[in-house]
Amino acid sequence: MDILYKNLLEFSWQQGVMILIGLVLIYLAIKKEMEPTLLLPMGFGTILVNIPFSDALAGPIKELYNAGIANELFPLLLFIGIGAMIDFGPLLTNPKLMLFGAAAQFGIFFTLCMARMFFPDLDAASISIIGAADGPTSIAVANTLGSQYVGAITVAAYSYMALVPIIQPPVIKLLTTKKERLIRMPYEQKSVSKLTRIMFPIIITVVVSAIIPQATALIGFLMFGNLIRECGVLDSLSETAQKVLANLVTIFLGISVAFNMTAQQFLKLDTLIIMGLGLLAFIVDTAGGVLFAKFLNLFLKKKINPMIGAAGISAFPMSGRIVHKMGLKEDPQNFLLMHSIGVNVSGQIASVIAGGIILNLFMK
Amino acid sequence: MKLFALLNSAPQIEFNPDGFVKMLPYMGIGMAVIFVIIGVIILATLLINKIFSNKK
Repeated sequence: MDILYKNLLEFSWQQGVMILIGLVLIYLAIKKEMEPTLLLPMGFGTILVNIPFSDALAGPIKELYNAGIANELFPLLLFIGIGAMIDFGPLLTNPKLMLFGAAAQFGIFFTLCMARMFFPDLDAASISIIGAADGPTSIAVANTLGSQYVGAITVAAYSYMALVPIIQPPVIKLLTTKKERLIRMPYEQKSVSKLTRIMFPIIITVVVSAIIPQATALIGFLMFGNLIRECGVLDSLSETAQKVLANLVTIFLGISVAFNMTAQQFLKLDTLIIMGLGLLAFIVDTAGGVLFAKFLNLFLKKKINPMIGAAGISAFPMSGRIVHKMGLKEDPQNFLLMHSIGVNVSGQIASVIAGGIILNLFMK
Repeated sequence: MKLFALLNSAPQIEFNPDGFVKMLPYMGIGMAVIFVIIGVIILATLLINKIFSNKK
């Protein structure tokens, strides 16, 4: 009869804490609807791998991890789906908005400096990429650099992406005046030719890969997805990429990331510091975009509403919508959506470029 | 100083304030490269907009 309690006696308090963390992730996913596509599988996977002598850990979760995370395949396949979901139209009508996407990656490099005070080079670089606000890029970079903190980095990246509606507004309000938040930016509707929409992903891939070859896979898969969407002859593939492929890979990704969520790997002071650095990265990203817009306004006659700079982080489309809502709150006639969404999609491109730069600087 | 002692007492953490300064060149290079690449992309986009625009 000892079969009934033998394994129960093997539970450690650390595993209990991790199971609790798994339950919290599931709660946040279901009750608060915070990135449920990732947090729920991660939460449940965390429970599975923290049962003593769990055969899920040594068996299917390990196999899924080796099949798709250790070789960066799952994040790249997910990028095809993400690329197919993105409409670059608002950005193509005003390409200068991409500058804000670049500025909003400052949080990555600032966090790199901060992280290096606590961690060695490769781990610091992996932690800094939380600031990309992009799950696939974070996982791909952390794995390629061989970081031991992939689990913590993934949890931080996806958790803070879901918390963007809470993180960004106070930072934006702190760095802008009421007068600046009231700046109107009328949108001029311009059409973008189909040929431009087709050439854009091809040219982006060639330009970025030629300069930063370590970003080829990331930018290539993202733009491949976009090309499937824009070519006009692959509607069924585009729909499959946006829905079936993205959902399927998300399930596998979420549950296999849990391979790094065992008590021994996760419950360390390091994890707490990583969560703090991740939050810092998001805050400085937001500040970087806003302050860059304010800097540009020193030289421009036609002022920019500096809030749109905050949309340069890659949390698409949440960040763009947050900025638009904040603009409407200040002035119900101020429609910033097309500008903020344009900046937001540029952040997706810039975050991938930043990931490639981090790999270029730190890969041996 | 108490914070330093606390951090250094955790076996996994080696607090190294010089690390911040050591990474500053990477910050400069990284941000410069991002802006250069984005600048090239902006110019390429303006060019393809001009070449492939809807002709009336």
